[in-house]
Amino acid sequence: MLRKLLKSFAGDVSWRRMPWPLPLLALALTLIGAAFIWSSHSEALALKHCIFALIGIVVFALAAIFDYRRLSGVTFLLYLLGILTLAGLWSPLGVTRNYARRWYDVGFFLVQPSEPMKLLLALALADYFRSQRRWQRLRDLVYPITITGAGMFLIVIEPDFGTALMLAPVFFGVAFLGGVRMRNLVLLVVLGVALLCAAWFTPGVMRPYQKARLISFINPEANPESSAAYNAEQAMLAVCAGGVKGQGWGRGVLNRLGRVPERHTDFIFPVIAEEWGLVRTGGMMLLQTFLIFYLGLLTLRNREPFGRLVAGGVLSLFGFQTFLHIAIGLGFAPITGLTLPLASYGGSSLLTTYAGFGLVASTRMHRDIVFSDATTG
Amino acid sequence: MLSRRVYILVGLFGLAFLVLLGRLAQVQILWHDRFDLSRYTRASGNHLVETVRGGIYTRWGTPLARQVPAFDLAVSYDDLPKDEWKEQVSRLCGVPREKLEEKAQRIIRRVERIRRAVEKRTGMERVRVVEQNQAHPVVRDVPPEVAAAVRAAPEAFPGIVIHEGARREYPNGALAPHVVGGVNDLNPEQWKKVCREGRQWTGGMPLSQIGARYKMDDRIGSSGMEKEYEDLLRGRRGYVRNYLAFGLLKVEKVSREAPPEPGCDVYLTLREDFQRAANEALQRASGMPQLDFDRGALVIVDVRSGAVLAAATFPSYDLSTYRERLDEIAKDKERAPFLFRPVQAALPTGSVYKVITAIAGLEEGAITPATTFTCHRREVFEGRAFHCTGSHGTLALLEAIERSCNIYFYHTALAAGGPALTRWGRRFGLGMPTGVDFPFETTGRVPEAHATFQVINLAIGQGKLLCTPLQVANMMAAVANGGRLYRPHFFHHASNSEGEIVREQRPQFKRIALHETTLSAVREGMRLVAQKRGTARHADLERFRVAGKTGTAEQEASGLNHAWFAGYAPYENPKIAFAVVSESTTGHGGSHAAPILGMALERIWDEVERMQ
Repeated sequence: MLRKLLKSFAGDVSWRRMPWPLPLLALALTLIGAAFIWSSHSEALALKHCIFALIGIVVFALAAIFDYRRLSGVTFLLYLLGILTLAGLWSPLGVTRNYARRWYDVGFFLVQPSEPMKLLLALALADYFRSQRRWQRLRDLVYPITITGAGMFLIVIEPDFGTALMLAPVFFGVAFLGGVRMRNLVLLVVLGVALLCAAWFTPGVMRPYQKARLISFINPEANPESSAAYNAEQAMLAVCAGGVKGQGWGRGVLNRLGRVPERHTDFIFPVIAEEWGLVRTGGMMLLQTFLIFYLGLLTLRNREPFGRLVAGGVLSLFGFQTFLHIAIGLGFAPITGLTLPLASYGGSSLLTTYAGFGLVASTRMHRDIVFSDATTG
Repeated sequence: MLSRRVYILVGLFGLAFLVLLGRLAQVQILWHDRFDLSRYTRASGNHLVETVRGGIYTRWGTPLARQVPAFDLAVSYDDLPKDEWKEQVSRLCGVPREKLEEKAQRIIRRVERIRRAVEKRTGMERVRVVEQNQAHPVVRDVPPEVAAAVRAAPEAFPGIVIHEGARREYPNGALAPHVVGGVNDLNPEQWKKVCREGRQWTGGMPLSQIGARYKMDDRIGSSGMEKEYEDLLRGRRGYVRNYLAFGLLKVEKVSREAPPEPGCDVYLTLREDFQRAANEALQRASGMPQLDFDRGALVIVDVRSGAVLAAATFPSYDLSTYRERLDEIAKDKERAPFLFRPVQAALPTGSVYKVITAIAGLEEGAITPATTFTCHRREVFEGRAFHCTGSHGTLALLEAIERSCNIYFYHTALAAGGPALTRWGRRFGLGMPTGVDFPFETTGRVPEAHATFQVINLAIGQGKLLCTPLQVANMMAAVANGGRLYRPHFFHHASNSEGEIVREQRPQFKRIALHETTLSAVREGMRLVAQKRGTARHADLERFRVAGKTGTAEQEASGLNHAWFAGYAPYENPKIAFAVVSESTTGHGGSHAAPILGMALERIWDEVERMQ
């Protein structure tokens, strides 16, 4: 009975094909994150992060065992469920914190439904793009743009600009790997920028603080007293303070003084840079890059379109978010309120990432069976 | 094709990694210095540690100036405009209220200046600078009982605090006041100069940079050795900076500090016994009606190094008391007690210049020691009559120097030519900067002589010639030592607080090429000057074996003379060279200047003999 249940859940899973580097690298980055959540916030929160990591490992294992192909066909339903959950935030069940309505309170912790949306979007898009050979017509992009736009809209109005923004690389990553013509993609980028400009000039769409962040990024001198400029400067100063050797874990002066804002989430990178210095921070970035390359390898080796696009979606999601977070900390990008995947505190984000990695592992562990299924009928 | 897209995507991420790593390196390596820890740590107790200014001593360690602890009475900034403390301080220290008022206003103006500068720099408004939280010295060096009274009952003296400071003490204030010089509060011009040189320290600069920099309320050497060797004497301030370092588990108190470096002690070449003898000789002379000595100078240099052994000037003052007599001293414009005559008074030398005339004549081949001229008391050159002091008859060089015959040197000068006369004077350092280590040296001049009357005037040291006593003594030293024109100096060495010598004076000289015959003739002539028939025969200098030359420069306007006597001793083995001048006297070099040297040498002759 149990065996049968497992069979229907896992399909023919090949344990030997388990891509070990994936969970190991993820776990290493999670532990680095926990250490700096400790040093920038509290021991208790670091412990919570570790507990989430344990749950994350379980989620990873379940996702890895799970035959991802069973998702094919239901991804849109799942995505619709996600959309409904997001819309549900405006019901009395939603929780407001810091003027943003992003969470459901489930007692033990706050669930942030916008996090799994990134993964659900990747799945839905992968499902769509794998079933067509060539995507030359612009009209074929209406569906994916619509579902992406719907998700982005619901997240933007929470408001959570950073997370909403991350749906874009998921879209572009999957569409790019899915074979959409470059011309159309470029056209979309231009459209996106135009939309952003329209949003800028339409009153009420963008909040003043978001505009201030962008202005202060483009011209920090414009309003040096603004909190956006202050945050950016403190983050940069923290990185500066690190030097080559770093000030030592738990000894970052700007970190301890609380000069860096949102240190355990949106600005964990400056904390790491300050306390670890160039050498070790560079090492961590190398780990992240290894992880990205490994995801790339798994994408490349996979010949099954759906699995390949799922892996590619997870790859571009993880890669974009990681490097954008770092770029913000280094003053290369405007402040968008973005967490560092795996390292920043945030249960929903952590579990989503592990689930995504689990699905990528699943695409490898269930690969050969595609053919056996095909032959047996 | 799709595989290629995977490569492109991953490649882009790889590129992003490299760019971000480069950026991280840029920020953490190149910009690391932009991070100033002190701005982010909560400071607890930052203060600078005062240094002690070095002392000034004579060659063998007699203190001329030194730093001793003292109490300063200070008033906290916010209380400065109030009247209460002025009443109290005026009563305690006996300082008039107006002076305190003025002092308070000066401090307020100064702090306002600092505040405005900080506002300008930071672009912020209504800044409160550190100086506004400090107490500022209002009366320096208050008596200990005043300090004790304030400290015993601080509540009775609101706003008043006693600072432990230091004051300059002058144990031998009258010995060489001009040489020692003064230390003053930085005045606006000096402050500007300090700022131009980038040596100022103002609020907002890191404490670690204080070192040898000046604060606005610092003192600075403004004259004499205090000015010349300010950098050696000053020392470097230290600092202590305490701050809290935020460790993970605890907050630690960390301090960074640099100890102060006391200033070096400066030892001068002046010898106490020589200087004292010179001072007393001038002092005694002023009390002797027959010498008619009213103002003048006496310089003694070491012929073998250019070291100034004594430099006395009259009238003079006492460093430890002159502040009370300031008005009186400043009023005496004619005698100018603040003028350091050995270096700063440029006067015509009279016949002393005949030594140069003789050397020029001999070196240019115009005369030989055996050349004779005949003196009939009066001689006409180009239709103008020039006179001598007597009718000397026919005489050769030695006798001409011995008896200071003008006619002989007129002929010599005309034979050698005016340019040679000027050249040789300058070659011996007359009318030229000596390079002595004393600020504000007067150069004097040796005029160009072309017309006959100019040449004749210069031959006997009249006309536009102006020399300082130090230049003359230095010239005599060059004659004595065979043509080494030393750079005269007051500085001997400086030693730090551990007693290590940090700087030492090495003799520097220019060589003047002279024939041995020239030297021996001039030296012999000068030896005769103090002998039985010489112009200085009445000064009783024979036992000191002095070789010298008298000089009497006539001033047409007043009818008074500058009486000179300059030379070296002992003539067979010269050790010292000297120059004495009595300004604006009725007498002559031989009768009115040479005896002053005699009085000085009497006191120190044994020491001169003993000099190695």
